[in-house]
Amino acid sequence: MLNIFCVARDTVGEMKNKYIKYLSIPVTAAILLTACSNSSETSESSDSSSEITLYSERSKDLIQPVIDQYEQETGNKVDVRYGDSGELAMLINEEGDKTPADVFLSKTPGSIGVLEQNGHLTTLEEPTLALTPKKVQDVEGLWVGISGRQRVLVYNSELVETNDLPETIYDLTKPEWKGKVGIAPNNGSFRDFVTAMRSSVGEETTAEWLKSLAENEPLTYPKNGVIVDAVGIGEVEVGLVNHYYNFRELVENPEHKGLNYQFPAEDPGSFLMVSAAGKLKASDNQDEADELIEWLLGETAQRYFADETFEYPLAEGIDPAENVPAAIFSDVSDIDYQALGDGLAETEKMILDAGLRE
Amino acid sequence: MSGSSLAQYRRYNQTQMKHRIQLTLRTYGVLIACFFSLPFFYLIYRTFDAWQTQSNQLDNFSQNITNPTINTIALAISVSVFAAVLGTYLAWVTIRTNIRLKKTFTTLFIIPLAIPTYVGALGYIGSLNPQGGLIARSTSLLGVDTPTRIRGFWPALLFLVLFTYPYVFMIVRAKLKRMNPELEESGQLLGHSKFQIFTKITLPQLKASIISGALIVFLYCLSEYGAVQLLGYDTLTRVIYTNFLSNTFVSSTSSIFLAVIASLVIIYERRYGVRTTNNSDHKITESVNTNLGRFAILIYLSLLTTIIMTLVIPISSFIYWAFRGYSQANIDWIEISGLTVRTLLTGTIAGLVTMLIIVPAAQFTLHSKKFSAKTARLSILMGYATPGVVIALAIVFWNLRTPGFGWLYQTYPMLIIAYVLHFGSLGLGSAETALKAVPDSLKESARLLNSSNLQRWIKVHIPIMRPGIFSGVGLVLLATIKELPATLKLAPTGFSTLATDIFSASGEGFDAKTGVLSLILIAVSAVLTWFLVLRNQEK
Repeated sequence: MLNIFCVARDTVGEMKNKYIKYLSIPVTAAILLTACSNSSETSESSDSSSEITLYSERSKDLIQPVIDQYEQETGNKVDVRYGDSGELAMLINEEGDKTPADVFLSKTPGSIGVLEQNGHLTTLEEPTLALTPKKVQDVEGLWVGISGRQRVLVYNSELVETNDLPETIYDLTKPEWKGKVGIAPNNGSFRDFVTAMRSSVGEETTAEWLKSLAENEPLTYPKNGVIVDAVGIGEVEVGLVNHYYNFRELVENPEHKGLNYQFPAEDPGSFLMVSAAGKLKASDNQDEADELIEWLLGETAQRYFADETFEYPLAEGIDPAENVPAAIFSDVSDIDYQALGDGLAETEKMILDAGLRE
Repeated sequence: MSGSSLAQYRRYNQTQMKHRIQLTLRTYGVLIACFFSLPFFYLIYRTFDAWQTQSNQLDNFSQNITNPTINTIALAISVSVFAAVLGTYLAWVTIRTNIRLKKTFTTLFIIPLAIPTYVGALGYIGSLNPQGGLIARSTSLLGVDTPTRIRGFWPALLFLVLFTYPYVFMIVRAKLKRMNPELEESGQLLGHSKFQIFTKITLPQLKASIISGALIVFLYCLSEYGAVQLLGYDTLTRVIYTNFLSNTFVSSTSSIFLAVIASLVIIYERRYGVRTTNNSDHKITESVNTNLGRFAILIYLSLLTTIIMTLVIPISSFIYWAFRGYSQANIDWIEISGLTVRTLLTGTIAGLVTMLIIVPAAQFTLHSKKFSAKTARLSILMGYATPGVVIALAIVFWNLRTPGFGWLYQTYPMLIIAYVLHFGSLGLGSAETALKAVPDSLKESARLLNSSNLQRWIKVHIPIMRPGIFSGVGLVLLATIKELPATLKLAPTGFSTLATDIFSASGEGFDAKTGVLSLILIAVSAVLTWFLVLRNQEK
């Protein structure tokens, strides 16, 4: 036995002489990187201010500026981990109570719904909850809406007359819209919209609508942004997307031909997707977490969401950006993912059964 | 009397040494097999756990899974075949003919590996846009109407072939450089046509490398998600991804299913793929460089077409986006340079660490016929067929539940480990080619001259293996800098790479930033590839 170790040691010893030349630089770099990455781009944390971790399913381009401002104003430090819709919720699920996250910021209701369902969240404080209308926060106070993204119908202004626009979402299954509607059935926001529809109008109506829609030959796309581009060039006349894509497209491309159309408030088509924040039960920094969430509902952050990303600020008393029409939507507080029984799984199944998958 | 017993003693000692080394290698091999099987064990655990808590999800399971499975297998097989053909053709052209600018072409043929597939797909879709897309504008000049939607099997096939052929290209190329041209010369002397020489002499020798490369392509197609999703082709990975949160049972069984398919192919390849025992390759001579003659123009055209389709088209979209929206995008160049350096360094470290771990393992898997060797090889290759998100979650699972390792969670070393797990297989093919490159004749003479196995290894084997090893480092590096799901979950908080930032920008519709970052990614990969290819040039 000992001999084997001797051989191994000799082997490694000999090898080192040759490999040192190749390895020394990257190894030193790795050590430096490990040291650097812990402090990353922001300054070293001091003991006097707090340091919390935010898991954000909203992207870095959107959130980092807001966080930077928070750090400047309050002196608190926030480490942010970014991920795609659902991925960080998956991560927290896997991490369980060992999660380093203190606050979770969701992009779609699905993620925060799952976290709620699996018991990862804890109730928010009253002062925090008082900052938004009741209809955009969780019934039990486990999450609060920070900004809203509304489902709309984007249409090509040259191909579609305003009088021809559908009055309700059910019109899209009529013959005149055959082959003219773009949807993204694999996309998170579509799934959230269907889940909400199930809650507001019931399972049967939703299943029927999905089937009729599928029979009406919709054009399927992978993402909302791609639909908006397609509508802009006239490849498809209308599409079911989120409201802000069109505004952002217009900023980058003023020639864009797409316009948004809002369904009436009671219509399922006008679903407001709330980007919500929640506090993790496993967090050791409950007070600091509250502080961050409250700041996100403050004037600075809310104005940022309104003006930079064209989303709907959900705190009371804050208006959306100038060219964005007021959101018209119904209550989202009681869309209970738990009561819907494995909300997303059932929605998935429904979409599949309707034949909307390619 | 004393002379012969001394010789006996020396032989006995050498045999003992050999056995010890073999035992060490075997132990190492078993450890490697366990390490690379961690994601699989994780999936088994999750499946059982979900089965107990969510057993009501079983209905419709077979209905949900049949179509995606068939789609996945059909695509993977087709892509492997076409990629093998293209990769071999290009490798032969750049090594065995007398075309000009070989280094440039070689570099350009490898760069597609650096483009994240979903970004490449976005670039392609963008180029069909009549307002600025390259394809749309060029075909409208010809008066042809191109469709603006590309979806389905054929676009997915084309796309994946264009972005995975470099795997075959690099592995076959490494082999071609080492191949003994004597046989081909004899063929010429005997009066065979060039075509016959190629098919009867060159190709059989290349068979193992081609299959090795095709296997990598196949495994990659199993785990591919971003591009096929954009192109509207429904695969098993879609089932896995869309069900992860809502229906863990379906998603983990689908992952296991994927792993089973991968295993079957790996085992099949091992049994039927040629195991060349002949190591009569020797030093590189100025090999038979086929004169292209009248085919020259055609061949150059084919090379250019490949480059246009793999690089020019997506890049044109990126350039267009970058210029169109530049003023609105807040591009911080200082931040971007830090980002680039970080990304590159990470990729290089991942590459080196991977090869360090894989080369000894390859020595074991290549020469041993034991069951443990086959399992080790299987588990390493499996890593590439496993979707990145599964590897990431498996590491989270094991990291947090193994006592004493908690402090390593979401640190840089853990991230490197994730890359090793996911991309180890890329190093394996190159490592095996490198090890096979050491010719028996050389081994014999070295054995006569050097008493120590280890000295022999260092002074003789490693320099010969260097091209193969660098090739492996290059493959892992290119794969790492575009990796996304594991990086997002396991990197230290606040650590981002070019890939994560591209993803962030493209998801929000910030086209200009997506364009700029993608161009930087490609440029940086080009430089690195050039560097690696230059280093590979024989003296």
